[in-house]
Amino acid sequence: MNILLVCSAGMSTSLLVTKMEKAAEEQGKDYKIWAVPEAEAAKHISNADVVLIGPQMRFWRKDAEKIAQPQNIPVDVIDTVAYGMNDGTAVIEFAEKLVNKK
Amino acid sequence: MAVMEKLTYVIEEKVAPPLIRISRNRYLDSIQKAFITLMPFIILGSFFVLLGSFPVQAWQNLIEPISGHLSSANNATMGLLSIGLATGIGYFLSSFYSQHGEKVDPFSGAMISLFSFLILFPVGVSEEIGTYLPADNLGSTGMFTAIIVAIISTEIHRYLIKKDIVIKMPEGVPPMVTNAFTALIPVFATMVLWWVLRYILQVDVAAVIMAGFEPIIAGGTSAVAQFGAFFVDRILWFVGIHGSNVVGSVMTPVWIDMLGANTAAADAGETVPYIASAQFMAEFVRVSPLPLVVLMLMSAVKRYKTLGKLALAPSIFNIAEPIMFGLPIVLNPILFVPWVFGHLFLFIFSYFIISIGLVPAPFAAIPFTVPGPIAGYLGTGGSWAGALLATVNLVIMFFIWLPFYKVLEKQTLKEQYENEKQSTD
Repeated sequence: MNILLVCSAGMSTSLLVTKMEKAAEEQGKDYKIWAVPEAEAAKHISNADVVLIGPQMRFWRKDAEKIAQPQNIPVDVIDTVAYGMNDGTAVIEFAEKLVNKK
Repeated sequence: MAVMEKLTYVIEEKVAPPLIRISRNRYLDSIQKAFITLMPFIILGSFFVLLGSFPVQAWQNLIEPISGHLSSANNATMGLLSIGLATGIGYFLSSFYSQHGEKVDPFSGAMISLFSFLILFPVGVSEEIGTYLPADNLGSTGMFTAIIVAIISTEIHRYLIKKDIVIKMPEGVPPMVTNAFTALIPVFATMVLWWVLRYILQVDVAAVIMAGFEPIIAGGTSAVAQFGAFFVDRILWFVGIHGSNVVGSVMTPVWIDMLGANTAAADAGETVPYIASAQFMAEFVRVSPLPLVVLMLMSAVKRYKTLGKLALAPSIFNIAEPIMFGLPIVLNPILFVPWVFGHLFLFIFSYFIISIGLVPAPFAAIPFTVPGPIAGYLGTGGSWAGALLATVNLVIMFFIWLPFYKVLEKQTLKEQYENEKQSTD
């Protein structure tokens, strides 16, 4: 599964990437997880199975959906507590739920 | 707390939505994306000016043979920024349309915007250097021209393609050839428009646009306007919206204009004209949540201590999200006052310290992840007073956070105690 994370500069989401990669590895899952700034996100969306947005950029969601929905790629905002606590396991679970739901 | 709840409601429901709507405007969004792409070049320019103006005699002696050439790197980046800006806006605005199902090719859009902008500046000939392009208004002063020209040209390009006013090729012609012909009519339409305006009607488009934007720049660059913009930035962050991103979508051209003037003045050894610049904000006012992290590391609340450890490294490099959402500061009525008014106090305090000459005004763009005191040192062209002010501001912020944080901690401890009591009962 390919998980794309998006925030303003791609900095704070990249913190989460490390934690998510670790969580995925522990669960024996081979996921590709990467973070990009919002300005570059549009061209990354089609390579993703799911797009997760940092809560501080939640206003970008509609723009992302316009690109992602025609390709049937789910988009959602990461829960603020999981984001703040850098909870990789919770965000992986969230991503899986979104992908399985579609 | 009813007042706080009402305030939060007003910010989230009334203040934020219109601001976000403005920042999501496709033109402002394209401008901002173009600037983000140009940021590394701007920082490179600042870096070279910094190297040239470093106030250490041994260093000055060392670079003496090349000191005249250090500005060239700034002249070729900051000094030609508007060329990159016109190209970038053409690209990102066309990308926006192509992502929304229109057949506008982003690279063609970028090229059309680039040359539409360049055609406005008559090439000159001099005996000494041959043909030349006057660069006076290709830097930050030509920014608004680049913005307007790129938007108009991209819109014409888009309109012609949308209305199918293009040269059509029979089926079987290779796509490369077809594309070249598709762009032909839009290129003619845009370039001829600007050419007629500039050379037949003799309208100095750049001068007209610059004059039109002058009042906006004059108003926008004032310390009062910057203070107001920063207030909005803090308020938006309080409800968990990236305030700097939203405010930046409107303010970035003004910030770059100030930066251009500041770097040029520093490079020429003159007084930096604008104190309340984006660099001032980044290096002295928008300090990292590090003081709060220090308090959390000493906390009796286990959750705060854990989060403090987690957030320590990111906070050193000015990444605030773990604290913003983890503590959280966002929507936390107890922390509203220090978050908003603590930073506003730092704005006024730093402005005062710089305006009375205790610390030189910052002029160099430093990546936002550089830790406070180092950014304060480098941003002011290597002034220890700059490093000191950035450090003092962190200490001030520590004491502003302290009483409010203690209230929060006490409340959390009480809740923890009551929960434990309940579970043992």
